[in-house]
Amino acid sequence: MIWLHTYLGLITGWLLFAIFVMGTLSYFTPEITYWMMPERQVIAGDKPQQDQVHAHGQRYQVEKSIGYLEANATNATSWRVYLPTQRDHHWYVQWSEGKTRHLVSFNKDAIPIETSTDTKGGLFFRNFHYTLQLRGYGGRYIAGVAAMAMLLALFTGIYTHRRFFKDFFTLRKGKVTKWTTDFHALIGIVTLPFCLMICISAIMIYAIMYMPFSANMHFENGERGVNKAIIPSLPALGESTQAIDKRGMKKDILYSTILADLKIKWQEPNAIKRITIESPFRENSRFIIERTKSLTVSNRAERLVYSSYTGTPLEGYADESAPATFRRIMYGLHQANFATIGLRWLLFVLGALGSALISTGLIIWVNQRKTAYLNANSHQLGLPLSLRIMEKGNIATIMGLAIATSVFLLVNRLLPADMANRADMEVNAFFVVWLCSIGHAIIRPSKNAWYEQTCIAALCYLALAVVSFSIPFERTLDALATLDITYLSFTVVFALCGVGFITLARWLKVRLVQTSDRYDLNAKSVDVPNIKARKR
Amino acid sequence: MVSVSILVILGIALLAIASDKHVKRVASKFNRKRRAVVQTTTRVSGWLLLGGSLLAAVYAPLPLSISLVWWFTLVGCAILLVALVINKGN
Repeated sequence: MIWLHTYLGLITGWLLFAIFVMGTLSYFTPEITYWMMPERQVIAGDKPQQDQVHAHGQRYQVEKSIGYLEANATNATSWRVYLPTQRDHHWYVQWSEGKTRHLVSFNKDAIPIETSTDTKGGLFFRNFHYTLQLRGYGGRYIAGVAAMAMLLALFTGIYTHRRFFKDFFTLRKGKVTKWTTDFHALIGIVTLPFCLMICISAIMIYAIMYMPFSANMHFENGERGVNKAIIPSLPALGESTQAIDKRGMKKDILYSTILADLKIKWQEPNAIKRITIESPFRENSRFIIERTKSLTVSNRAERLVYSSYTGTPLEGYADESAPATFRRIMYGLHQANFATIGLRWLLFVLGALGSALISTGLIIWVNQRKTAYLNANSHQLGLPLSLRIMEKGNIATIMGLAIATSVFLLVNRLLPADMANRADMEVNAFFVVWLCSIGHAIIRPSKNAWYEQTCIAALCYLALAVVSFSIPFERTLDALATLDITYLSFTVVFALCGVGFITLARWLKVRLVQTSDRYDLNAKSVDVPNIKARKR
Repeated sequence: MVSVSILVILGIALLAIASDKHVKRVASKFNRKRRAVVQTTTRVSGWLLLGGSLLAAVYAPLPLSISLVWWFTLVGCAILLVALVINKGN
């Protein structure tokens, strides 16, 4: 069991650390995107405010969106209206004409935004978390195998650290190795339910992909066939005449009647997430409204269907089967769309602790082996290759990822807005910096590499805090004027990260000095007998 | 959820105090028999408070599934918080 725990952790540790860090950041995907696109402003608010949008709420947004689509998307077969939430503040409409897809975003005054920042935003972290930027090249399989290994490591970890249960709530101070081992065991227990939930739900989301044999045997299109069979859909719309009133004019969509009916059924504020209008301008047009996911653990919220031109409720989607519902709940638990800000932060803390669990495990292994090796082979210089690879890899994975993440965010602000392939350049910067971190870790002695990379991380985060505050400065002023906590909190978090890395760097510096002093003493103690021998 | 959080933290704190390593903090003056009684009482109180917090979460004005996610998350964070605080004094 101990052997399995150790080697599962070693083999998949770096990968799991990257997946956990990225997954933890993904709890704030819409917020990160919001920060990375400074042209976005607060649209959806908690309390009714003075301006036009908040005074009329979602009804105003629906009215403006449909008005825009009626004027600009006359040839589309369907329209989609995405209403802003308190998390993303992104209000946009979408339609397709032939193969061309159109997307228009609005600001809070319902004016179309002409230029928007070309960025992957928080979606980069989310996609990296489960595809490892290898979509189509087996990335999801690798991430799945890592999740399975993590699950196994959790169970074997309970056995490996079973003695800890006797001394629960114990963190021995003094020696770093003891404290790290206690901390590893403690956070292993603290995050056990969270990690189990995350690993099991991750595997369940792609269960059909990992075990396609049954689906391939019973369904024509394999995985797609299964999804088609278990996911309920609405009956196809037939041919229909144009919706024209008695005066010969095009009919108006009766959104007011529909929204009034909805207000009785869904009573939470800003309850609508998305509206799909199928076959606009046709007599049989459908108005499909999707609720926000704030009141359900499932990743599929309730959907209601109305006739667009009569406002009467139509037969909606059939209930999903139990396995489909189970998979959706797993999906919802993994993504935590239901979580309010407090719960989201708690889950973020647990995710960060999960990352700390993996990193401490990796560090403990290297330190224990290193100490044992140096005690047994004090006369030999250097460490064996395997230990050196692990040590350097730990530095590049843990510190490299911290630096690369900050650079990804930093580049978002520093690259010119009109640059070609701007979004790809941000991603490239992330990977180039990570690669540089690996190179630095290989070249420099380990203790120096830890210290230097921590200093670089501290610098990067402090620079990020400054850049977040000053570029674009008007955005910060606007955020201060409107008390936009989401936007402003990024500057605070970056500054706190910077301070955290400075503290870590100072601690590492002390250890570095102590180690060099010890080496000097050892060197002197070796030199003294040599000098005496020479004198003789 | 505020009351659930308070109950969870208090419950975990009592369980931490009742653990073999930390019980001497509250029961150092007692003899062995009394100490065992104090330890058991503290432990039972801790479990009762945790049970109470679970009940409070179940009856919170939120969907049950979301309340349970809240409760598990709070328990995890409370264990870490209590462990860090209780070991600081050592």
